[in-house]
Amino acid sequence: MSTLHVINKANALPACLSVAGAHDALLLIEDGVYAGTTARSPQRPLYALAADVDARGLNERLGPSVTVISDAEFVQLAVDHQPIVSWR
Amino acid sequence: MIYGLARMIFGIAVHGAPYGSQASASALRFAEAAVAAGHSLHRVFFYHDGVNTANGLMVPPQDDPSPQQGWVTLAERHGIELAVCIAAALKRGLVNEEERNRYGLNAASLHPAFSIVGLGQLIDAIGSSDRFVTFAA
Amino acid sequence: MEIRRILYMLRQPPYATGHAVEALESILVAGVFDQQVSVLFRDDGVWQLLKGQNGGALGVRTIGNVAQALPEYEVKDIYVCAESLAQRGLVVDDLVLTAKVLSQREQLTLISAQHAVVND
Repeated sequence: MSTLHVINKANALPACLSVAGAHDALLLIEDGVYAGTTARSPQRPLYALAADVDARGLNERLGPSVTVISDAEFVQLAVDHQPIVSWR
Repeated sequence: MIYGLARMIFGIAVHGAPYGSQASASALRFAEAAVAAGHSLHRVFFYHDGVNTANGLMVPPQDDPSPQQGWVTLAERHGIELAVCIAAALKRGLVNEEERNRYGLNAASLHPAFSIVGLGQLIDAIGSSDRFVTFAA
Repeated sequence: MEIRRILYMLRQPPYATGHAVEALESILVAGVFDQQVSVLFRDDGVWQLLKGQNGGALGVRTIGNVAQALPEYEVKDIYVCAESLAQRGLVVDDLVLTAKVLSQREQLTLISAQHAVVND
């Protein structure tokens, strides 16, 4: 099963990408969502948590490769992946 | 594909303090969404500054509530254990009645909905869950 | 309780916060339970392993000494990120314990084999 990487600080994204597999999923939460304004993650699914995106006024500022998801979809990502790794 | 059929047991760790981080609030929203989707959650393990979630002497401003009440409500409704690491709690001034007496302190500060446990309970939470999620500081 | 593969991924430098020492304490406890515990030091977490630390200068425990106790607590699978060492001008002889050096690809394999990953 592939890994879910949860990134809660934008500057933790490079470290995460250095060990993320081609089929792993990346989820930006909290201040991690700022990475979604510049990050390109070809090949890998890149998600951002809706509440954190909305709170920060980033709805129109995320790159086209970023998919905004709800808390319920975060739970489903956690069901579909193992392990779940946090990066800060 | 039919979603929602896989019922899982989640374990959650909270590593960041309320106000100092979003960790506790993020974890609470995840926990609420997991339970709403039919998954179960036996224990939430509070570690590092995350133990401050259990401070029973907080007076949160009305427009900036602490996640604490949300945890208490969720735990009561679904029988979830709110476990606070003893080593991390004691040094941050979080004590229940038993620890208050043991150390001769003026007041117990731990919210009664939270329990003080050893680090072994973190390993137990990992060992007895299908998925384990850490909410980092 | 089932036997699980649990990886602790330590990325924080010692001393400025309590995270390094609290994470190490957690691992020492995990080691005595019947679980398959491994530890990966990477990014600024590799500074926790540097020889010559003296926590006494700050009136606190020396983190290198705490880390050094891991093998005594049945934590035998200790890994360190090759790139993180190189970026900081460190070599394995600079470290307080014997750790297996892993490439990024090997870390990917290690992570994907886990039941749970705990960060610091």
